Amino acid sequence: MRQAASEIRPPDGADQDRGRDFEAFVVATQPRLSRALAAAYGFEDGRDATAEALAYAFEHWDELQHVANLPGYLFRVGQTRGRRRRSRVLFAVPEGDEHPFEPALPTALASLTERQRLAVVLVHGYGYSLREVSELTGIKLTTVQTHLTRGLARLRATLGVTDGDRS
Amino acid sequence: MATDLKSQIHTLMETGIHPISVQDIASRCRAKPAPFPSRKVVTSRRVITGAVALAATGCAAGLVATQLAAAPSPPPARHASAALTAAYVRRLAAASRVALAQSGQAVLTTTVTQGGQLQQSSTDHLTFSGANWNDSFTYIPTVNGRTLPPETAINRVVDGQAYDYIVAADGLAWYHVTGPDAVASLNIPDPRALLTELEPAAGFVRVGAAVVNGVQVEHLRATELAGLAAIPLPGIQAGGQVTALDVWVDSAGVVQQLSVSVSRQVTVVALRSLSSPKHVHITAGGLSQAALKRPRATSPAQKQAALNAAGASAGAQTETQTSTITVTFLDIGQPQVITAPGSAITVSGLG
Repeated sequence: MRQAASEIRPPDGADQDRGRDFEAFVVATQPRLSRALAAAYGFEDGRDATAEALAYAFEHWDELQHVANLPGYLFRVGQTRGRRRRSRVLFAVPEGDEHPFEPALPTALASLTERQRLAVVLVHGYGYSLREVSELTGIKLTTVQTHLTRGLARLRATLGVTDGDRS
Repeated sequence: MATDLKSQIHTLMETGIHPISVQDIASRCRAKPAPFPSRKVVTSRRVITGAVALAATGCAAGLVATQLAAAPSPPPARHASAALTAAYVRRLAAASRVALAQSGQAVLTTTVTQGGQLQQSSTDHLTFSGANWNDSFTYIPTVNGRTLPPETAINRVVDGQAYDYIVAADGLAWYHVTGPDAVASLNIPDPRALLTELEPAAGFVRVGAAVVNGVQVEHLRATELAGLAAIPLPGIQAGGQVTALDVWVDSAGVVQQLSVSVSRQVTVVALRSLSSPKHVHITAGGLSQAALKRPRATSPAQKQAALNAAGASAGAQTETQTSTITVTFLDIGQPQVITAPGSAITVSGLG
């Protein structure tokens, strides 16, 4: 039985390396993928989309070795799968808890366009460069800048934040 | 409340984003290979063959599938103490590393005995989130068999900046320590380093079911200790031999608790026959800046090592020194908020 023959062979270095490569990839990539997809689709759908994207990578790991920008590729995989299930509340936070942010911030952030949210959260919230966001999301660098500027302006207007907050 | 929009957005996002486990990823794989073999898989050659076939069909390139397909089939296990397969142990290590990669908490207790007598003990309550750390620890020094009052302090790292809550020049306060070595000088132990002990060669066997912090776990024990690497944690002397290793893992294969003991032979010299080396500080109570920042470096165990290095031989005898470290992981993968102290006195060069 062919399967049994492969089953009993000892683990070789290549198999172990592949396993470690995938594990290292998940550790390195998951934070930015999670942040980007959560910014785009909210906490619940973003998490789901991230898991789906990583599962896709899990299934196609060998084929994906030749993809130059794998995080960006998986972001688009997550977009495709995540769009099927949109939550009505994007940034739900536990009620009753005292949070160290403006109570209106989740709603205000949700009111931005998807691309504005991506730019605002990743660049302003996490300190990513415009280029990093461009590479991850596939949005042109200059367009990221435009979405950032407009998104921040809209967010500040919604929250009633003055110019003194432009940090 | 965070004052600027930037940190508020960051905090909001960190509140809602939770790490995704390898199990979650694997469960979404279309062929759905089990990320961790069920008991039947481990104990039945027939079942694992089916699992391998399934995995090879759908997920041949994936981490779990790779390991399933590559793993030698386990021997039929009719007894609970049958050694776990190398592939299974590797999966435990991988799942734990991924689950703990970003954030969580840990309680790390360390005891050192020598000649059957307690030498020192300490407990670190650790919180970590990315590169940010908080280490609230209690250190109980022992001098000549006498336990001294416990010393407590907090070491914290936030955005690459080092903070100490200790007694220093301005009394008990938060100090913002600057300097190129400030963060490294805090010597905060990373309990995840202990996961390197999850070596397939250790010959893990099942001991039985247990509960750790309300979580149903399986107790595993290493039976082949000779080849295990030394524990890569501060405070553990080089040259020791692992003498016990127990691990408690949950149903997802993530380590909830780990306990390891290391023993070594040390040469004991009567203190009165030597003068203490200049770099050894014996903490006799109260809060000492040096002791709190590097409590292990001033421990009796370290002192003993210095004495050994001094080459003393008159009246020397050997004793067994045993260090036991137990780590319990909490809030695994859950977001942790570690912020800089509201006000801290900036000092330079403490590190």
